[in-house]
Amino acid sequence: MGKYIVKRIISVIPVLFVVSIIVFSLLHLTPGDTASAILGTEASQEDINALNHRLGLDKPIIIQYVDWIGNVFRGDFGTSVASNNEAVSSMIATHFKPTIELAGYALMISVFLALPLGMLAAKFKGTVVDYGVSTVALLGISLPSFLLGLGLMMLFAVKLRWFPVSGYKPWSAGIELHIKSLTLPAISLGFMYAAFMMRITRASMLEVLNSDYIKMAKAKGVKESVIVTKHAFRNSLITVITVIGQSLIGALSGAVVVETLFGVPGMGSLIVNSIARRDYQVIQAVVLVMALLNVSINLIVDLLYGIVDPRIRLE
Amino acid sequence: MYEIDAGTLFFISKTQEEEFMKKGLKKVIALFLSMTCVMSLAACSSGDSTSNATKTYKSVINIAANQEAPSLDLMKNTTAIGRYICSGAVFEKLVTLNANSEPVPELAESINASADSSSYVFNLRKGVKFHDGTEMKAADVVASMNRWINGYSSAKTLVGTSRFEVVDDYTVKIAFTAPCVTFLSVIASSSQVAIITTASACTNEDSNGYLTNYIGTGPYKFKEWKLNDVITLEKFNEYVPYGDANASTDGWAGYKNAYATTINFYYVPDEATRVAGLQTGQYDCAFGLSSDTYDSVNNNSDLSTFAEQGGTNVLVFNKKQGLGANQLFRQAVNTGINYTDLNTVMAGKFFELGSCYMDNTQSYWVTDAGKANYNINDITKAKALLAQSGYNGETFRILTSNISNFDKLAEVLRQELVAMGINVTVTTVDWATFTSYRTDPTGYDLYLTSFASVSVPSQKVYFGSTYPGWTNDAQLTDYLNQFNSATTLEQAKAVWVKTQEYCWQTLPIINLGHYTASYGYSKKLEGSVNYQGMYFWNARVAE
Repeated sequence: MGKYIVKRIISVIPVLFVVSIIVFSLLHLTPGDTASAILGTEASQEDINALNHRLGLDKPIIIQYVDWIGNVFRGDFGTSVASNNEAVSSMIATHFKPTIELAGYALMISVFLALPLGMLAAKFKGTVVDYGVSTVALLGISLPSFLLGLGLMMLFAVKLRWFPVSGYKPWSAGIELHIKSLTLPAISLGFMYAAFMMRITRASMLEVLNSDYIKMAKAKGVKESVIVTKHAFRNSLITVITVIGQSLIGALSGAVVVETLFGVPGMGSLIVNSIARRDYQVIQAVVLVMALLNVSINLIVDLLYGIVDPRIRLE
Repeated sequence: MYEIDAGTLFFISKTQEEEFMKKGLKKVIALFLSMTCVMSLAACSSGDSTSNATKTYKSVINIAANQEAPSLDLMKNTTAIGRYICSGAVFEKLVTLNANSEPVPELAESINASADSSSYVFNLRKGVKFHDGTEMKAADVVASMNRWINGYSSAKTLVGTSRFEVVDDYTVKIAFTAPCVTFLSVIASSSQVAIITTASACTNEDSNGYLTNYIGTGPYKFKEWKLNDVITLEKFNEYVPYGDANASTDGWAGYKNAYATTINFYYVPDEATRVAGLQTGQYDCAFGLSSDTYDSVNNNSDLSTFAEQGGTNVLVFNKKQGLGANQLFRQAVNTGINYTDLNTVMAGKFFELGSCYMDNTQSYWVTDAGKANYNINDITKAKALLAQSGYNGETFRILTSNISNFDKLAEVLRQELVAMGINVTVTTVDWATFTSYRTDPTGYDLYLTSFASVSVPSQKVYFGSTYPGWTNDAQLTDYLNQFNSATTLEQAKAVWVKTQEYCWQTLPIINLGHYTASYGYSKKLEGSVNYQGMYFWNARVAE
């Protein structure tokens, strides 16, 4: 197991290297002017040219890449050229926290909704319960998160005043404020993943419930609840864990719309704003971090396979 | 010599504190315990408050902003939101504008100008404290003003090699080789603001050349900037108000007093969210309303709106090469298009037709010179001009960005030009790409953009020969030189009238009209300065 983990970690290095080249090339081949974005619309061309020179953006792209990757190897992601000159590593740390909290909260909502409902739908296949769950799942998959978010905002924030309309409050502002500030965005984000998980759980459970060992268990007189929760659910977990892992990656990197709608200063809003400002240092670093996260989560999911199903051995 | 004295204004208040979101805990827990099993925690928010006999006021003002600036160094960054947050509240200038767009003293006690406006002596207010606790002296002012000039092309063009000098601890001067009658107006208001900070702050720049520390003299000091989240200002307790506390506000000029202890400028990019926050009271003011939401805010009995001309929507021809370099072709385009339709598709009802290049917030410079060539909308005449121009079916290339409905404007413009018999292509890109593409004269014939208000006409960047569009007209340059060297404002105005008349004949750009910047705010918000934006140094919010 240990050897397997080390091998997987080492394999991340070339992945990140390739990602860095692709991202750097794409960004610098994309037209756009950092200095204009920094100085604003009324800046003169002389001032724009001077700033581009000062930032080294008029150097050949190869030189710019070597400069950047050299600094990255030294652990220096540089400073943001378009956002108050803040250190990129500090920006990522600041913006990662709301995103991981939001993604975690959304995933928690998804799991707590999806797993029981998916199991119920499988257990009561073809009944009203099954159709009800399938309808909810279909709605969740079809409904864009911004539309759901707006609806939740209008009902729970504007009409009922239970939650703030937007903004993020850290733990330090009080646990109540913190949870309230993240609840509507988490539901908006989590509902879509919940719907997806519901369908997968239902399908996976149905497959397992129709297998021979479940029939054998029934024949032996094992209680229905034990069959569903202990035998069927555990054996369907492999698929469910995969979906949860993918959902977490999606929630971490794809919360852009929800973060923008609810004013959550997370990684999504950071990368969107950075792209608009052509803040190359930030975009490159964020993509690298996201790639690293993606690989890490996949590794964790692989390791969980072995825990959930001891028959699986990782080598 | 003549002398200008400070104007004043008056406000009275006490402050108090409140936190948003302190109710509804039980509802929240009830809803989410069953769903997530994590909602059993609770915390209390609190706010201490003070009150006077009649009204109590919150200590915190919350603003929903639609932009985030790359820096709050107003000397170098031209983003409007930076000015709304810091100009006047954090940073002050030697002179500022009154409601008639006239420069009046702010950090200067008085100004002595030579008869021909070729030199200015600024007598500074004594006892003015910076936010770092030091007193403002002439060395700080000279360092700040010279940094501003060196970093601002328009100012450098205006003053040439002249720079500020220290006369004594409380006096500075600048002398020009020629008259410079608009100099005070430019100091009072420009897209790169002539703010005063400490001499040491001026030398402490980041890698972009921006100020590292935001140290001003205003009634609020910069406290914190959480990127993509909030900029917080807090009351500067050592601020010494000046002027007459009993006088009323006059533009940006007059008596200042920080009534709130904290002002938060939240970055809320989504308009629906800003408006929803305004409706719930989470925000006391929201920037950037569009015609889609303006009515819903205006019809809310708890809310109010403010709208004013914010700048001009402009079609900029590429005069370096191609069809845009042909004056008759430009006149054909101008003659055939329908200004009302073009403005409407961009801004709904948030625009005002008007031939003046300057906005009515700079009332002194407003003129309708050249209006005969404004909004003609005569396709027959346009076709005749097109024939005269020698147009032979070449493709007319329009470059636009996808922000602020410029893409829609481009499409309507394309249809109108096609109706005149012009072959048109439209390239729509994001803003950063747009700013890059428009520097390439081989890539387009016309681009669409808008320009914010400026204090004097010569600051219009599109008059410059190096600005994309490349206006390089000897007569226009001569007019601008005459304008800059005028010895009196009346003389400058007369030159400006001739300049605008000339521009409507030669059409270096087409000024479509004035866009309206609009804001929504709670009726509990009092004392905001609504002049060329909304400012909050005297603002307070009733409970």
